[in-house]
Amino acid sequence: MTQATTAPAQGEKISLLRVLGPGHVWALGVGIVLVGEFMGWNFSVGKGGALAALIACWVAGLLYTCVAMIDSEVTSTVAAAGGQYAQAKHIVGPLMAFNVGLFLVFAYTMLEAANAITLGYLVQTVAGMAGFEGVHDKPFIVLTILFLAWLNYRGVYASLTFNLVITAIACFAIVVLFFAVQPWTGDTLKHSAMLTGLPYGWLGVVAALHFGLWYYLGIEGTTQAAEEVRSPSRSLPLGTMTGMITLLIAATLTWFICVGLMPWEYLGQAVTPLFDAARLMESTPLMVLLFIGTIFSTLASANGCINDASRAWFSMGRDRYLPQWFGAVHPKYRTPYRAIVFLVPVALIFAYFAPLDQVITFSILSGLLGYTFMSFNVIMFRNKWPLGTIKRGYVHPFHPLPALVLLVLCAVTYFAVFLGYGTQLIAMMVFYIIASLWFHFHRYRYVRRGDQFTMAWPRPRGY
Amino acid sequence: MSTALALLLVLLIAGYGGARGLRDHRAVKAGRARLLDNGLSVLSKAEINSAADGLPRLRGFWNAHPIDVRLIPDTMTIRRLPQLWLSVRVEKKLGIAASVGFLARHAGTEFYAQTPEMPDRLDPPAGLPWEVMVRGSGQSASEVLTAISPIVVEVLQDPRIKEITVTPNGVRIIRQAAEGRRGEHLLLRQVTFDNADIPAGDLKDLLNIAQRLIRALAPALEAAAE
Repeated sequence: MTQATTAPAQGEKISLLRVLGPGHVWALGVGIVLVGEFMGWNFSVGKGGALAALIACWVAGLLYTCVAMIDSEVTSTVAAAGGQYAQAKHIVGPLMAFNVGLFLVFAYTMLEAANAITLGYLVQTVAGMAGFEGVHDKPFIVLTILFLAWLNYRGVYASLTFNLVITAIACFAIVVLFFAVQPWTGDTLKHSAMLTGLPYGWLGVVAALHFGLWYYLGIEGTTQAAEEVRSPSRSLPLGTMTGMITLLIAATLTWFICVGLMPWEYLGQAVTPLFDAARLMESTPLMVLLFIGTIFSTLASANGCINDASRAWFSMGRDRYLPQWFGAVHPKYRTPYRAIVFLVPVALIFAYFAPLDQVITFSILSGLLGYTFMSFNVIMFRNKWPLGTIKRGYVHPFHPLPALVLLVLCAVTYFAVFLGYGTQLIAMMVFYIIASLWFHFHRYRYVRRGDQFTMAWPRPRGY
Repeated sequence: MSTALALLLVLLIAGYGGARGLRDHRAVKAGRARLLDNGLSVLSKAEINSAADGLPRLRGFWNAHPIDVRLIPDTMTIRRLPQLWLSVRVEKKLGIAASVGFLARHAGTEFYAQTPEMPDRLDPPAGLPWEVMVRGSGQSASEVLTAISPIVVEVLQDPRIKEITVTPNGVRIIRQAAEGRRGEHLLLRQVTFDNADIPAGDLKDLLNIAQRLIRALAPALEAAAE
């Protein structure tokens, strides 16, 4: 798994082994599985019942497959580092890039808040079980966010061993739980009794799609880590698709365990479904293992969220989309410390005052807006620079079908969100509209327009 | 096993994990402090100091020029692996009244770079890789660019070179020293560099490049001396 220290010569293709060595597959498979399996996905059960949640899981998988295909083409072609943010700068323009930056920041910040809420609730629950009835979740929510922000502020390093121990325990916990319920015997899991069809009909299936995205949210970014000197790869989007397949299997397993143990009415509002499943097994070691697994996964996810959200905010400061003050780097620790500190109260406010399902909804909405952008983005990309006009590392098939499917599924998901969280949907849309107006009428004058486009592409068709 | 005992076990595990993490952090910092040790044999009157992030800073003399060598960790670009940049600065009054900078693969997040701060965009010389941004400041920036173009075009064919800046006070070259491990970055956004020790030969190569650039500007220096 050791990386070479020298950059590849120009034109050298990235070998499959380099992209997906054994350790990378482990990282993708385990690292991504973490939080989405331990909390959040089960709210889809509350929206439409257990079967609706499973359907939503697979339909969301289709949505993310389209995301993976589209993103792979654009990522392999836009050599500039920076993910969707850089792509928006080059293909659409600064206003879209500003919005994409905000999507990233708020998707991750809300996810961070959701992680903190889950951790706080879990600590409160376990403390109550241990006889400490007076323990509240709020202090632990605050402590989690502040502690992780401090770690990111300081730029704390840890060894490979430490990283693997954390993720291995989280993965191991799920596997142990699966074997503990002995699904092959039918003694523990009671699907025949628990599965009650579609309590809200097919409208419930549509509604469940809202939280169905939670199984996969962020995968398009989690598997991306471009090298500084990058040659476009001709390989299929193996990194993201491997993660997708891993998630699909893990999500189905998690669903299978939980719906066989808990009635959908309870499962649909549980904060920690896997831990609750362990409690129902009445096994203290199992509970301890799932407790540790949930804590580790939420901490790991929250750490990554603070890291990514602050970098996105920092990038916007450097590009002058936001005040340049945010583009500062700590002189000692080499971290985007002002961005990190600025986003802490945002996460705290939502984590402290908003319930988990609403916080997750805000995160999903920001992610959804990003996916909607992707569908328009690739259509514009192909129109402006048709095949053959620029070198593409990967060309996704059946265009524009994936973009149209993605757009339709995004539209259905907006409707799904509206069914239960119309206020949040409208609030978020109003926020982004106001932010866009601020950027257009006030902030844009500070942007160095000439520096936004860094690719040696020909003039777009029609320009 | 009672719940209280289980809780105690969890706390012990957390304590061990925290202590192990702290120990790992210190070990990583200690390892980083040795990354420029090979440079001690290249420079005269060389000394190494350590910054708060544990990365070393080497100062000394080479061909009678004061030299400043640093390692800069860069985790600022979203969706990109962490980078470790080697910065080599030769401090010498060059007798020019302008600055010129070349920055490869400009992403906007290069907090260490001087090139983006230069106000004027200059036409790139023929043969320069397309992804290099050329900027300058001062009225004679174009003349400086012309003088150093052949050397810069040749040097920037190496994709590891990130930035070259020529200012009235000297020359600075930034080159990639190492790239972060993908697995650790994907998992926990950790920054782990393998084999990041800077060989003495690499340091000499960069110093030789700087020397060539200084020589290319020698006519300006002689004019200034007169």
